[in-house]
Amino acid sequence: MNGDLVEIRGLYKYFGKLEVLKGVSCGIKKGEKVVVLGASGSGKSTMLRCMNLLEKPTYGEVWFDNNLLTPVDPYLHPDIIKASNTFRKLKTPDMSDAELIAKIKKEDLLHEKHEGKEYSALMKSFHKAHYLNENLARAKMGMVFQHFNLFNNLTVLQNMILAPVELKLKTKEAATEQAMELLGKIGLTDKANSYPSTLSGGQKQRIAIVRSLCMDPEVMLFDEPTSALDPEMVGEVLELMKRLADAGMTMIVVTHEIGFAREVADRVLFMANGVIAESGTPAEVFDDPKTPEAKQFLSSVL
Amino acid sequence: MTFAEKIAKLWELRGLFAESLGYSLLIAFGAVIIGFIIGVIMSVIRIAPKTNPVIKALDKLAVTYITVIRGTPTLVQLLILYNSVLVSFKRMPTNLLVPIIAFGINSGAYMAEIIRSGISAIDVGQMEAGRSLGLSWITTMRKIIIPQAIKTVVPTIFNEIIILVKETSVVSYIVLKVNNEQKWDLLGMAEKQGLATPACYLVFLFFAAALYLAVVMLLTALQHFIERRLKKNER
Repeated sequence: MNGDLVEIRGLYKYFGKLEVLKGVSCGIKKGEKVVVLGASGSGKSTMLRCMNLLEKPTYGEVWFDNNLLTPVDPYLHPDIIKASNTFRKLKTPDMSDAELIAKIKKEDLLHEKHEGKEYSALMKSFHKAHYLNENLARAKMGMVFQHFNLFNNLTVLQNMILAPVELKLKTKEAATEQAMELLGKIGLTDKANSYPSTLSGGQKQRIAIVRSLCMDPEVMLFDEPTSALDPEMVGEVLELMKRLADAGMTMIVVTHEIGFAREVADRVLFMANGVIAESGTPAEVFDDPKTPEAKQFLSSVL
Repeated sequence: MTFAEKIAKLWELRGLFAESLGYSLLIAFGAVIIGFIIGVIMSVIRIAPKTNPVIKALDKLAVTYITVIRGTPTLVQLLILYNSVLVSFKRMPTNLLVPIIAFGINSGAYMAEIIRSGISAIDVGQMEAGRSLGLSWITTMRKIIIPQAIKTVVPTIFNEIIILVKETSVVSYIVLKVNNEQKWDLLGMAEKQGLATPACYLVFLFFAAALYLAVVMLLTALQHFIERRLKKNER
């Protein structure tokens, strides 16, 4: 909403009783490279997966290129809260609007169905003005998984051209030409007609990356892309990611590769207990961590 | 009657037996097609995320269908269909559709559960990868999940087909008609000829058994051929 390509606002995610995200907000600008660090269970993967709605946030909003991907979260919009019956009922002269809004937010007092016409109309018009179908958004947000997730029933080339052709973004010829060019860039042209089961982990992950690139994404999300790889294959994948970064791609990378973060990241987010505990340049976060969690984490991985 | 005479009698009737085997196979083949289509649709409904009321209702329907069909004998289903629901078919000059539909509906319930188990066995990462590329749930199902699921359930599907081929023998409980002429399935033919020539009854039954066995062995060979082909595709 303020020039960020990807923005999450007030994100909460519960898995049953487990609170994984407890109010996360951050924005990523076009061309920015953000590395997300944190101990396992800190919520970093969940935050990344919320960005393209593979996980549906319990509360909060996800924005992509000024489009809203989630339902409207009324607690993020004071003017919508003000239009609610709850607000009107609780309003007393000795309480300021801001105080009451804070109270309603804190105690989760809104009840979708009983907030009156004005409230519903505002919710609806806001939704209508900004909402973008998740499939359309995902087509522009590449994602790379820890376990590669190449389609096992398709060849490498078919893996790469399936989505652009199926979504009618490109003709089969154009998609094939682009895919072969990308395979050439990573030196795997000869694997075009191989099935994923015949490839090494490093090859699979590099192909998973270029499969996403076939969609001409505006941002790439990486969910621990090297964690499942044998050590000798980590380098080739990081190398490709660096080339991608140099080419100006907007990247959000969840990883444990501190070296990569130092070299590539414009900004490092450190997550602990479901919130962003620290945010800053690699130098700020790595050389001068403020929170005890970050200090402990960094001393364990460095 | 000597054994040689019995065999001679059997030889005399070979055309009739071949025709009746044809009807048995036709019914089984039609039922497999219907059952497979029903199975794929039902399994997808069962596996779909229950996000809207239509899918929830369809899911309830699918569960009911599977429970009822798996919970009642095939013969009962066939007789009910023959005598009530499809009563107009009964009067039609050719009523082969009655057993085809009855066995198809029956098989669909089993196929649904088989295919559902195959879909559940596919790594969730495959669906996530499809969705992350912007493909819809149904497109990812169609292009990625179902093809892989079918591959893993080929042996179980063939198991079901084999059972179905043999189960068509209960069709002799109803009157089959083709162009207003009464026809018999393989077991029905063995029974009919056995009544006409009681001395040969046992020979006819053994012959019918041998033909069923031959068909099943062919199906098993086909299964192994398909499994090998599917494996080769991945290498």
